[in-house]
Amino acid sequence: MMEGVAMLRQLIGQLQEVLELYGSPPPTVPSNYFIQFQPQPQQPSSEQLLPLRWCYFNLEGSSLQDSCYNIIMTAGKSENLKMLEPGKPPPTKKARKGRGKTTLTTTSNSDDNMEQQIWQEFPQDLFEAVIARLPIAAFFRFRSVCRTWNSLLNSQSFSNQCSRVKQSQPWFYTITHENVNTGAMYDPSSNKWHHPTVPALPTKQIVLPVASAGGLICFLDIGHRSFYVCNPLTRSFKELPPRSVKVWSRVAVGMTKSATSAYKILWVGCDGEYEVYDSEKNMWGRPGNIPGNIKIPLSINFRSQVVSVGKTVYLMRSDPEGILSYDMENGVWGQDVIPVPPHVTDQVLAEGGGGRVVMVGLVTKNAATCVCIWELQRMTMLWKEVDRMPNVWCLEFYGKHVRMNCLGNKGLLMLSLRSRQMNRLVTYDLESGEWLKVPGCVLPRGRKRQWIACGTAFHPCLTALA
Amino acid sequence: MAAETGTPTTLTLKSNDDELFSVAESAAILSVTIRNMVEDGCAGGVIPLDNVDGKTLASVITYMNGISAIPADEEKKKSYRDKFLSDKDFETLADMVLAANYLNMSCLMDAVSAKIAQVMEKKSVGWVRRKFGIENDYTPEEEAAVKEEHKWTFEGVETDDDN
Repeated sequence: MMEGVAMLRQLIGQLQEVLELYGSPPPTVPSNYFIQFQPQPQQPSSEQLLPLRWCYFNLEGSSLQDSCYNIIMTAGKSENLKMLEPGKPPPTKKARKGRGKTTLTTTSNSDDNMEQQIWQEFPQDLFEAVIARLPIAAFFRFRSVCRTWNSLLNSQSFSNQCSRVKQSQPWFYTITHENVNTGAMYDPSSNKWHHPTVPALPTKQIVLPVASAGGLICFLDIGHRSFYVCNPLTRSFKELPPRSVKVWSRVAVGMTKSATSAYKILWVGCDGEYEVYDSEKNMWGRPGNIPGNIKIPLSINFRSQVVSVGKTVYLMRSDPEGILSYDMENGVWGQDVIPVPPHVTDQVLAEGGGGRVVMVGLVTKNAATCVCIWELQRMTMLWKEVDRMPNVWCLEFYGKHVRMNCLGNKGLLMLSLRSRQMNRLVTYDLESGEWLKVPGCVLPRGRKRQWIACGTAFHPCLTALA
Repeated sequence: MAAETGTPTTLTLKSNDDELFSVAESAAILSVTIRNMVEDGCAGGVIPLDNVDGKTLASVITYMNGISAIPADEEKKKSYRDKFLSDKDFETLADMVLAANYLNMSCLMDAVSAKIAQVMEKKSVGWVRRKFGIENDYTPEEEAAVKEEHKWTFEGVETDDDN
C-alpha cells in the first residue's frame, strides 16, 4: 500500500515536470508535429521550446477555420439540399476572369509555387486596390519591386483606388535648425520620423513650410518673395509666378483645396494687402475687398498658422483680439472680435475637424504652466475650454519659463514646448483627446537630436500634383 | 421568387466545385452580383457562382451572415471584419478578394485589401517578389537608383518575412 502511494507520487512529480517543461499539451496534435521535437537528453532551453508553441497556435488557427467551414456545410445539408452531379469530378482549376498579369516566377520551390499560383492570377486592378492601402512608407519601399509597381503613380486607375481609401491622420513636415534645407517628416501612425529628400526644392535659399492642402505643401522663402508648392512624397513641384506686390514684409499664408486637383493660396500682410493664387489659372488675383469695419493694420498673430475649414481660411489677430476669415471662393472677408481668456500666452488657431475652430495656448498662473484647448462657441463668440494637458506632464514645466510653438494644426496638433533646458514634442488629437509624446527627431545614423524650427501638418497623398 | 410571403427568403448558391449553400436573401444581397440576379428574377433555382470555390464561398457566407446581423454601427461592423479576417492565411485572403471582386461586395473587398496590405507592410521587397511571383525587371543599377531615391523608406524597417 505505502509502496503504491510512493510510486503514484513519483509519477505525479514526473508528470508535473513534463508539464512545466512543455506547457499543457493540446488535445490533439498530429504525430508529425512532434518529429522535430524528439525528447532530448539534456533539458531543452526556452528558445528550443518556442517553435513548439508557435506550431500549436498555427494548428489551432487552421482547425478553427475548418470547423467554421464544417458548420456551414452541415447547416447547408440540414436543409435537405441535394448535392448535384455526384459523378462529375471537381474542376481542377478555378475559372477566373480579368487576368492581367503576365509576370513569371524565378523561384523553384514547389511549395512556394503552389502558394504563388493564386497570386499569379491576381488581376492588376486588384493589386492596385491592395497597394493603395499600404502605408505611405511601405508604398515607396515597394516601388523597387518591379517597373510596374514603380510606375503606379502615373496610373489613373491607381489614382482612383487611392481616392477610395479613407484619409489617415496627417503627417508633419518640419524644418530643423540643424538642417534648414531638408525636411523631417513625422508619421504619427508609425510614430516615426522620416528624412526624405525633396530634390526639387531650392537649396540656395531657405524655404519654410507655411501651409498645406490636399497633400501639397506651400513653401515660402524667408525673404517672403517666392512661393513654391510641392508634394513632399513625390517629385511633384512648382514655383508659383511672382506676386505683383513688391513689398516684402511678413505675410500670413493660407491654402485650400478648391476642385478635385486644384488649390488656392492666400497671402495677406498687416497693411491689408492680399492676393490669391488660383492653380487652375496659374496666376495671382485679388478677389474682393477688406470692408471698412475691419481695422487696419491687421495686427496678424504670425505665431498662429492659418486654419482652413472647407473653402474658408481663418487668421488670428490682436487689437482687437479676434479672428479674421476669408472665403477663398467668393472673396469675402469677415471679422469676429473674440477676447482671449486671461493668463493665456502663445495662443494659436487649429482646425478641430467637422468645421470646428479651436485655440491652443499656455495658461500660466503663479509658477504653474499648462497647455489648454478651447473651442470657439459660434453662438456666443467666446472661447470655451474643452481640454488641458495631463497634470503629470504639466508638472515638468513648473517654475520654468515655457514657450509653445505649434507645428501643425489639422485635427492632430504637434506642439513644441521649450524652456531653457527642455524641448518637448507632443501631439494632441482633437478628435479623441489623446496626448502623446513624439520621439526625438534624430537623423539616420545620427545621434544628436534635431531641434524643430517650424512645420506644417499635411495629409499625405500619393497622387496630389503641384 | 422561390419562397412564399411571410417566411424569410432563402437563396441557394452553388460553388464552382458543386457545393451547395443556403443563405438568407437579406444577407446574400450584400453581393451586388447576387442582388442584381434577385432583382432580375433569376434567383429562383440554384445560383451558380462559377468563380468561387466551396471553401471560399463558405467563408464569404459566414461573413454575409455575420455582418448583416450587425445593425448600422460602423464601429461594430469594423471590429467584426477585423475579427473575421484575423485567422485567415495569406492565400485565403487572395481567394477572398477575388471572390469579393466577383461577387461585387465592396465592403469585404476593401477590408480584405486592407488586410493584405497590412501583412505586406512588414515584408521585404524580396518576399513580395517571391510571394506574388513577380520578376525583378530592373537592371541592378536601376534597382539601386530606385532604392536610393526612397532610402528613407528602408530606414529602421524590420521585416518578418519568415511567416
